Amino acid sequence: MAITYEPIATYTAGAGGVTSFEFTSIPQTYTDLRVIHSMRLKSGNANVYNKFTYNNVTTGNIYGYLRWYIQSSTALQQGSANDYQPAPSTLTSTTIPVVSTIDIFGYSDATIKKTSIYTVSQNFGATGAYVIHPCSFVDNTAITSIKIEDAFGGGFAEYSTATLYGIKAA
Amino acid sequence: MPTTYQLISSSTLSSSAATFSFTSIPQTYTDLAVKCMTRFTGAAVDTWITFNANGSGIYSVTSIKGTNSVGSGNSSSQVRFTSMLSDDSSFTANTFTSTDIYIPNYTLPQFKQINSASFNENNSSDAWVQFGAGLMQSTTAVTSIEFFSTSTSFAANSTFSLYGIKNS
Repeated sequence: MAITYEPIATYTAGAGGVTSFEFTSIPQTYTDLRVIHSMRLKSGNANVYNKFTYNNVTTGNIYGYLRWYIQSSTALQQGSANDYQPAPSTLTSTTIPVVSTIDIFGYSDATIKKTSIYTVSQNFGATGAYVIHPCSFVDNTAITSIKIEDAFGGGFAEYSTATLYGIKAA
Repeated sequence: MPTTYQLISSSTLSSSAATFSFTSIPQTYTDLAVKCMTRFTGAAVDTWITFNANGSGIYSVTSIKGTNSVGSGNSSSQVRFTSMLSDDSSFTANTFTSTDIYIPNYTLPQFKQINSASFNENNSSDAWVQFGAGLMQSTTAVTSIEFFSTSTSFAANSTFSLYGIKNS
């Protein structure tokens, strides 16, 4: 059986934290990509979210998304387009990690626009959220880099991690 | 490049069992993934999960749940993680609920997040899907995972598989 689901790169924030995680020079030899991101913020912000971008593209409103989510006990849905993919973290903590899984399909195919499914799991005891987030990157260009930033600039605290996996279909 | 997503343990129940546990989980991976197919022998009850056999009030869960016409959510603190479904005896025979559970950084000295997705199978409109965001407020590394319910047993042919995922 062929080997699949291979780690491509991983980052772990040290004691001082980091301002962003970025995967560059992504090999074009896989079928799909998966990012597992566990973050804690260095500084707390209300209604925080992350910025998730491909190929350093930050213009043109080419990141589209729909969102179905539960926040505390209320089920909600929304959709929009933006200059970056707003990773749908709606709560924040400097002590408890938020877990995100991003599956990116057909990332190396330069003939198609890219789709992904972004899920965020976060629970802080008294409250929490679960977000299912189908996304589009309306660009035919192969994805060669991925960047994750705290949209409010505070950065990610110690033990925050981001790992990129490559998944082969054959 | 190293392979990852390695099978640690997998079991298929040959007869009904009130509980199932993964024990002595190796501490050599980055994340854990659990994949289950479960069915109860009795009526509908919650499927419960604890970690490290810790049944104190360190768990909380926010979940969203829907069926063919109803969606709802809730958030609560409990003595166990509860965002997992199982088919019960009223469901079509030989159907099982599929569940994915992901536990990142299970060895790090921080509180543990638990991500779950659970899907009933039933050859009728009465089936549910549930997604859950859980928290275990313990900095202890996860060394065991226990599955059980209030008052019934897992049916024969229920399966539980544990995978370890390395990030390098």
